[in-house]
Amino acid sequence: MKRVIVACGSGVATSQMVASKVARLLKEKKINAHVDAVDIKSISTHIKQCDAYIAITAPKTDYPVPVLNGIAFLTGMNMDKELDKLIEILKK
Amino acid sequence: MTLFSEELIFLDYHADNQYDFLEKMSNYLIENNYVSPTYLEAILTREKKYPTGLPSEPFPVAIPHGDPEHVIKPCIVVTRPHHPITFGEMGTLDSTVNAKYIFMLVVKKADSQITLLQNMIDMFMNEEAMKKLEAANTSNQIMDVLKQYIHLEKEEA
Repeated sequence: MKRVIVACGSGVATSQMVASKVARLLKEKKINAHVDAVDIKSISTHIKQCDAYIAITAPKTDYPVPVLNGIAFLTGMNMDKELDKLIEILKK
Repeated sequence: MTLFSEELIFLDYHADNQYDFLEKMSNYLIENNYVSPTYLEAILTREKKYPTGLPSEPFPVAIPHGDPEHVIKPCIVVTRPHHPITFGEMGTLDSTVNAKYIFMLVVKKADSQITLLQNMIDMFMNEEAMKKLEAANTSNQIMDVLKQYIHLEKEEA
């Protein structure tokens, strides 16, 4: 199954909120994928085991997987665009 | 017991800037045993690296939070500062927002409070809800608005 990771600074509040929202949105669109909130400190390990990374912090480095805008999912602003992008990635 | 309480709602709060605000509020939480003495440093460090200002409409809100290991008694502190307080914008390292409300999330594992936190963010984007929040003059009235938009009863610990 495809895996999406979400990371924020503490891996507590914001990443969890975004992860649960994205999981719900994907389910509504009938897309099968795991969505996990992870700690930013362990991002280098998780990034190797996922298909997309939803970033809530400013990404500093280039990642081997597509990076999406977590703030869009958090606030709902420009969310549809990011969701379409994510679905596109997961359908591949 | 819910995460919100009237004692933790502060209106017309005076703080010179973000640092002053976080320091005063953290000290209050430390004194009242909500967090351990390490909280202030933790929240300052985190805010610097991972800012928590949300560029929400109708107006910006900040949701500062420290790492869970410093939390003793989970709660959410709601502040409407006398003047908006500048916070770094979440997801950036150089933009800022002027937060009109500050919801300090003193939480442990978010799993059990996801619905509440999500409701809360949705409320920030809800113009009608934020208008009601603006119209509220007392902690009690603020609490009523929160109850209306955030399903507190489902989140009882």
